[in-house]
Amino acid sequence: MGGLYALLASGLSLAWGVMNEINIAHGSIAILGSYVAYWALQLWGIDPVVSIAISVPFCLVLGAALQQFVNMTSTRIPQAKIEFYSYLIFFGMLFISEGLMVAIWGGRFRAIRTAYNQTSVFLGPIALPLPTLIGFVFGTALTLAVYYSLKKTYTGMAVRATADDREIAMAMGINTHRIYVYTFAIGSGLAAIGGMCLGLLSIFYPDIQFYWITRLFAIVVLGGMGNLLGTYLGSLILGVAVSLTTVFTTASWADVVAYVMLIIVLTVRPKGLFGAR
Amino acid sequence: MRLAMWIPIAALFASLPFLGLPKEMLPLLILILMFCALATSWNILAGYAGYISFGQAGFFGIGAYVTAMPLYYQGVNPFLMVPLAGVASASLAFVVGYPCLKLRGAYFAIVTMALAFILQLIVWNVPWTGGGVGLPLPILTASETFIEPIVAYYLAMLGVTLAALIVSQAVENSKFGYGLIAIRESEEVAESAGVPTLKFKILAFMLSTFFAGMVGGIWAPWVAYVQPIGAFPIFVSIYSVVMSVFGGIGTWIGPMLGAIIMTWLQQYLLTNVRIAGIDNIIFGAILILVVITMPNGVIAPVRKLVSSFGAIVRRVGSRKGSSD
Repeated sequence: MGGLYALLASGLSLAWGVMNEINIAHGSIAILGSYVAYWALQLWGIDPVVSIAISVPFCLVLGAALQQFVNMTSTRIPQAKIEFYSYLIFFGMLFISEGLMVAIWGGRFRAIRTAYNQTSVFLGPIALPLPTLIGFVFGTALTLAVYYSLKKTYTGMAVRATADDREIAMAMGINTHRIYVYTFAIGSGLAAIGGMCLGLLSIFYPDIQFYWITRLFAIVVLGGMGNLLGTYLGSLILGVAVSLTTVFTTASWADVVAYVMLIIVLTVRPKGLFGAR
Repeated sequence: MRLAMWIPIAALFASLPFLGLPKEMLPLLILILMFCALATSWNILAGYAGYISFGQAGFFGIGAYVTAMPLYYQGVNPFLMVPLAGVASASLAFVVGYPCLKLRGAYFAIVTMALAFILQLIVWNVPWTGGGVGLPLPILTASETFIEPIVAYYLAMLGVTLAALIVSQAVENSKFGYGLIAIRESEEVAESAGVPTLKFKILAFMLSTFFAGMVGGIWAPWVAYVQPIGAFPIFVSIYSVVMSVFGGIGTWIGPMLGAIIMTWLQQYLLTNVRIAGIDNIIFGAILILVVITMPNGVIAPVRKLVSSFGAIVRRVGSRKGSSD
């Protein structure tokens, strides 16, 4: 589970850390990824794992367009207010996308059914459900890939510079608006893959994004915003915590644990478990 | 003096159902009043102090269960429990206020959102609240409410809404309100200027949740069914924010305006446009449009219009005066 969480949370974490934007519509994009995978399978019989070839470019473009829209409209907004402003704009987008999904696909519960949905891979005595494994592999590989490209590539350096200090990055000749668009697009692309894995694992419907987005916020806060490695570790911690509570009590208590963890971490270490003090 | 202006308004609205207003209008009016009260009370903390809460649904749900459970188990008249519903919500706000209100901006928004989810899940998991199935409540009869039940709900909701508006207006023009606005502008400066920031914030949080709890307390017997998803509706949290932003946060009149327009619009869309989700699409588009073009809400241009109109009236008046 942890890897899947990381897949979904890194885009949120990046947007928050780099641009100080709180993308509450992130869950929407992920659910869109689920729907694309679902329909690709239903209509054309495309395997969900292959269908990310459709959903990722789609969500990349969508994310870039959304961010471009925010860039264009937020020029008069002071930097200190951008957090709340972007929050409201993304809120509006969440409403629109939620309404569109309900209007087009209805509010019914859906699940992606493939041949390997119920199969497991055995590692010695441990049985790993294949969908979880897919999520974990994608999550780990892609989070690490993004993490290293942030560290090593020129664009990654520009992203980090923009996150540190937007004005100075601009003065250094970095097109911060373009960096914003890149970062947002990458986050959306990751969310699309996350959404596909989500669809393999459990049911989904347009409103489930509210449930996911709170969990994702918990992860991002746990790991420290903008800190991808922290986000990854936060995802693993949350995944383990949720699994353990599911084993010892019932599944419905698992989220209570997740949210209580979030509140405790927030009040004790607001910068995240792995953030600088 | 300011209080006096509310008496005719209250009297007018309270007499509406007795002056031949069709009974079919009352549910819509109750809904409008409900969101009025929710948005107005949300605004007390968010608009003045700048602490954006996303937990309004949690406190609404507490209120709903505080009236629903005695009604279900003992048949206690829910209207007696409504003030208690508010007190229960405010007490919880007092308890969680200290750790939560240390967090700012988005962190506070997230922690309140999580709080609403925790409350919902606790209710879900505890058996005596009815669990996930919920509690079906007995439908009240006229003998229990003295007048027709729907009128009773209308009057109760009206009372809570007016109280929320009066309190909000009083806060806006009080030392307390100025303290909250100082906190919004800069908490450090407010603190060093001698504003007891923590006390003010907790008080504002309690006020804002007090009304949310009472609204929930009236809502539960009205719909006659409480259930974790229905009684902690995420749309209550969301609409409180959206309606207030639409109307103009930080003013007592803005959230009311937003609630009236948007609730009416939503009901109109739901009944007349037969596409599921259309209300959310329109809401989203309106929200984005308002945020981009009128960051202070629709109340700002309205106020400008009113004040320029007032200036014209005054100018005409003074010209008359000088010519005499």
